[in-house]
Amino acid sequence: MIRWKFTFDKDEEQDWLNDWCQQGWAMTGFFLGVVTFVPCRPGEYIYQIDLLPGKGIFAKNYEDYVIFMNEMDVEILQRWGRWVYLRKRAEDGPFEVYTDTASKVEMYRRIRGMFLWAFCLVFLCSFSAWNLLFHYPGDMFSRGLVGIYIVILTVMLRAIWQCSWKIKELERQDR
Amino acid sequence: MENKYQPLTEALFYILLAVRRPIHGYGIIQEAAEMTGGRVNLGPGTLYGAINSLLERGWIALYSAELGSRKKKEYVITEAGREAFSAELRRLRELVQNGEKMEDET
Repeated sequence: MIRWKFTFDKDEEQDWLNDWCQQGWAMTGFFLGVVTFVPCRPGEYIYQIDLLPGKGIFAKNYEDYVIFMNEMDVEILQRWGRWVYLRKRAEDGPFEVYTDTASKVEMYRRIRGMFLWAFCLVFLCSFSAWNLLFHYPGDMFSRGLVGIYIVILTVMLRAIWQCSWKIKELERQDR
Repeated sequence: MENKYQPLTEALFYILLAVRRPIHGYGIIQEAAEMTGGRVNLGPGTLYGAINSLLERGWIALYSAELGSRKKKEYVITEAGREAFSAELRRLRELVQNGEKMEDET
């Protein structure tokens, strides 16, 4: 089965994958928003999504991470830049990648940093579109291009804000 | 001297305690859960981040990592790690001693 999912909220996506698994569909792959599923026993696996430490789209010490996770019986289903899709058999007990406030906050900071980096990159790329619109204000193409950039930048800003909100909530609960 | 160290998170405390003898990652998770009656359950991501941070600080070291073998990596505490752990223990003892005043005086 193939489904389409596009979100910048990893918690939402993780819940979505676990919901499908409860219905007997196990995610096996992801490519540009296209998610593939195969039949499974309902609730057979627990899914988690993680962002690896690193810079931009490059993960730091990925091989170490893979070895470590395999030692913990965690399966790495898919890697997408620094994003990884993980799963573990539900019969082996609860599975949560991060279990304390410090490491959860650290993860959301990493995600925020990555989105901030992507935001700056897209913002720089959008200069040519702004320039085009400045010279041809009535042109539909330049208007459309600027519109697309504005949508992407807004979605990224929302993702950055969401991470900040989650960090604040975690720190407030820990106090 | 105690000010040299920040208070440890529970995860770091139990990891340092578990690596008093050479132990692999999964063993650390099991030992922390056993010592706390299942209260402290270390997630693999939490443990991975903590181990890397402790390795960087030089508080733990790799005990064995036989390349090409199937043997799991084992970690062990260093002198610097023991010193940091002792400082934390002194801080916690002081906390408990002062805290007991509450019970003594009521």
